[in-house]
Amino acid sequence: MNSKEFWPFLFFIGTLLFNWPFLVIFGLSLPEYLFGVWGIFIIVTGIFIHKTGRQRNNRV
Amino acid sequence: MFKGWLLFIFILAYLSLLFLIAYYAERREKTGRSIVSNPYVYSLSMAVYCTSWTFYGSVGKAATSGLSFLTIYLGPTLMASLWWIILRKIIIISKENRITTISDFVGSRYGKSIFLSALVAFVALVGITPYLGLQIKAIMKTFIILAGETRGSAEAGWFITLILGIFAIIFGARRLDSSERHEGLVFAIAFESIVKLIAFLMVGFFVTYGLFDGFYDIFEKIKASQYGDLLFLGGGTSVSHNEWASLLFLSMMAIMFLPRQFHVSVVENSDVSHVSRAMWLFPLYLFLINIFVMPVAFGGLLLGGSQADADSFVLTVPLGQGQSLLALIVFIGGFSAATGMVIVESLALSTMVMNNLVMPAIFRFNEMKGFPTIILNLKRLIILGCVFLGYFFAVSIGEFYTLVDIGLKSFEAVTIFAPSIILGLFWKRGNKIGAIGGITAGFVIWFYTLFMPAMLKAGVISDEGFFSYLINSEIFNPHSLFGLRGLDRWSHSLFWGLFFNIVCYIGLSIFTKQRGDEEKQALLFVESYSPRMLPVKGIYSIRQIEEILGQYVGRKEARDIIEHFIARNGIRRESASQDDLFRLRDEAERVLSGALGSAIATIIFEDKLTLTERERGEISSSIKQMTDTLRLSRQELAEANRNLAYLKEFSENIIESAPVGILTIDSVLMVKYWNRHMEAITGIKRSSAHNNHIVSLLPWISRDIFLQNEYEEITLQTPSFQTFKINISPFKDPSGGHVVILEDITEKKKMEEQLLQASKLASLGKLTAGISHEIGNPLASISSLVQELRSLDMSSGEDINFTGESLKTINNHIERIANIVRSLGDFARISTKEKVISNISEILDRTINLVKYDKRFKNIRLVSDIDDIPPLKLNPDQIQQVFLNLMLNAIDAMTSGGKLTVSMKRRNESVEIDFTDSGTGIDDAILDRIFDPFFTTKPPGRGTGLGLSICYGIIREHNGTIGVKSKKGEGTTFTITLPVIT
Repeated sequence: MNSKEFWPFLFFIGTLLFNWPFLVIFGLSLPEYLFGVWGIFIIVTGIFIHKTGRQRNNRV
Repeated sequence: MFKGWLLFIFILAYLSLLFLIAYYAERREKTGRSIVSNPYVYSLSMAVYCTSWTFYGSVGKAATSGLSFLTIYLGPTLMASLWWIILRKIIIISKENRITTISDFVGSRYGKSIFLSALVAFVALVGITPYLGLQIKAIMKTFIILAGETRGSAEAGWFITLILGIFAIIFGARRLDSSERHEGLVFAIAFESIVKLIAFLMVGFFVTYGLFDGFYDIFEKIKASQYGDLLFLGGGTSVSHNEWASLLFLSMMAIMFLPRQFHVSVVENSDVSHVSRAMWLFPLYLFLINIFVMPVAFGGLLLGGSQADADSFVLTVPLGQGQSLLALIVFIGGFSAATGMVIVESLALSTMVMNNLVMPAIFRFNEMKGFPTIILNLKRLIILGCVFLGYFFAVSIGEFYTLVDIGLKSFEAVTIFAPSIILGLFWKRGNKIGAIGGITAGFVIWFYTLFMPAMLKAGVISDEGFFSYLINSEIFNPHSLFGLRGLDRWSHSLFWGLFFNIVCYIGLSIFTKQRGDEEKQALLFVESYSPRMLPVKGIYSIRQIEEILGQYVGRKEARDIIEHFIARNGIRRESASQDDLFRLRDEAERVLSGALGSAIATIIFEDKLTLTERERGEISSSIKQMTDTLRLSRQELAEANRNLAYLKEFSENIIESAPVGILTIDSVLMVKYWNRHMEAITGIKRSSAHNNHIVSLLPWISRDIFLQNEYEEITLQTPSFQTFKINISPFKDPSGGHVVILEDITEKKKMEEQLLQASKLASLGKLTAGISHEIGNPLASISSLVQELRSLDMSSGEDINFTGESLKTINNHIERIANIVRSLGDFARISTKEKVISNISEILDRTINLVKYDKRFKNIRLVSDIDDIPPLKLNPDQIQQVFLNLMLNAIDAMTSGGKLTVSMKRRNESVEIDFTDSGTGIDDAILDRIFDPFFTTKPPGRGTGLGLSICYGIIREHNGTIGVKSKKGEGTTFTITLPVIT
């Protein structure tokens, strides 16, 4: 998956996870769920940035 | 508690420290050792998003409506994931077009429209003023809390606003050489981001672990209290899922289109690659600053604080616990959050007002030549005006609303720009009329549904008469426009605002035409395409550029700018090339853009262009020609791309649907392509094969094969008894690599073996008929001898001798029969598959011996001429089958006797074996068909027509040849050539 596909995909998944119905599904432990998904979202973003950055460097 | 004057000293000391930090960063920039141009400072400067709203308001929101405060930070986190696509594009376009504000950006996109820029600047000014007021309100409120008295608070607020205004001027409008970037300001903002984060983490840690036993303790206690609802969504005091989604969307738009966010993320960006690091660093900052929001909010409630005062919990909780020092640090943190916002926002707003509202008006009537001081002071006045506008909002309307309410109104206001900017970046048809219509419609809805009710509530406008009619109307009620009920006010305003905005933007864009310059700008923005203008004949001299610049920024400033540019680029004044002059003009235009806006800067330089009418005409037609050519090239390129995509898909379809395995490897034997049939053959998935070494995937292929850079064809059997025919072709590309085609011939091989065996049995059947008398004669002899032996008298000595002779004869006969049976048995056994080192002369001898038993051979004279041949690598069973087939055919051709000559000679690197008979010969007409399968000249039932075809296949597999020469009535010669491979 390249950058042009990955970022819209991540945005879409993130928007889904931070909205209904997931907020209802995890309603009983909402603070943990929201902060957990938020943290994972940041980590995934960081990893993909690192990976694509390394690929660019390799190409150079 | 602290004395008011002491707090003022702290404030001034802190602002002075900020100024020193900014001054240091600017010094570093001038010496070419920037400490700002890195992704960390860039990400921290983006944290100007976290204002006093975050610092105080989030806790207030968490204490009153639970988790919904998070939407303001989750939205930007989600939006950050699209920065690589959207923000990068905005930055690149802005740098190319010397854009310094969001209003400039919108105006520039739609044909450099001054009217549209002015409209955006006006909407931003009205929409953001409440937000500025929010910061001032927060500072005033916390100042009062910390000072412990309300006396003189109005004066304090006024004075603090003045100080903030002055510092905004110091940071952003000290001089008029204001190119668009301010490294000092950015570094100060980044420093403030660290201060506010540390201050908030300190108070959070104190409440969570100092006053309670950690997160779990606070959450359990709040769950058991009357505020338990705050942990859930969709019921009680919490927000609905609709409101949650609306707030999430609003904050996504805010992070992109708030003027200060545009300023730090686009205008102050020094390197577009910094965006990638900011995509996770900025969300991480938001994550950290929010960790303790709920513990502080819930802690404040559990300690007896009321929801109405929750905005101040961050300050009142440590104060209530006697932690004055911590409270002071928190105050500085909150002040830091507010000042950062006020300084950047007022700077961005003042630039917009100056460039898009004031300058076009002034320029229309008076070119302001030689009045740089007036321009500079005007900008300073506008900055002060913006800050004081916020102050008046804070003291008039701000009283009636919480921090979050005020901030969200501004978020809704900047969302008005979203369709014109986002659609404008990706849709070329969007035009100026559409953008003006959309923004106007969005602004009217925003004003009517959010701003007017706020003014009514504050009593700025009276709710009697006409306004009373509106409020009580079914259709025009600002809280349920057109009868739409059931939505919270944010979702309600957002829905109608976006609806009319988008409908007007798209509808008007579709039904009205773009002008030429709009079309050009649309192409620049949507395609991120910038034509490089060639230097023209009427370019300015260095003196002219300095003169023009001096008229607007002052002579000394202009001289400094020119000298600095010349020194930096190593240009010699007396021999500057056209390209140097062109770049210098660019730099001067960039400086003027920062001071006066890009539209005015362009006008100034275009007006000064001293070209003749003819030259102008030439340039105009040349640009038109270039644009037309480029448009055509782009169309051709698009067409070529489409064709290429089609061809790619077509070739992939062929490769994917081919019934053979196809893979490609690079020069270091790593798999780069693996088609679907390869998955079926090997059971290895494409994803697992990709970028793996071929020898690790197909260990039965030797690595050495790939060392020879030549076409190779091999057949091999895997340990799982699959047989593959493998073609290996090197790529012609200089980077190397091979394409490998694997054909699974396991079934084909089995069938060939079965056919060979059947052919053998057929030959055996033929032989059996001829050989039967060879066995029958000795058997008859044995039988008669046995009869005679039974009638003998064993006591007679003569009979004993006869018996001995007879038994010897019988034994000879039995041995002869045994030899025949053994020969037949040897021949009939299942063939081996491998080629082994064999003596071909022995194979030929063995075959001749077998044939000799055939009674038809009695009339044939065999002449053999066999050279001494070294052992060869071949399949002895298959080769014997070939010899036997050819000799039996020769016998069939010589029914009444003849001569069969068998010769075997070494010819250089091959062995030639001839079988020449003196039989009937073969007709010329059928000579070239005799190796065809199922072709026979024998009567039905006497031959299958497969014998010679099998011979041909066997010899080909041994990389040899088989040929025939024949003349009707004279005989036939079959010649076999086999390579000498040992």
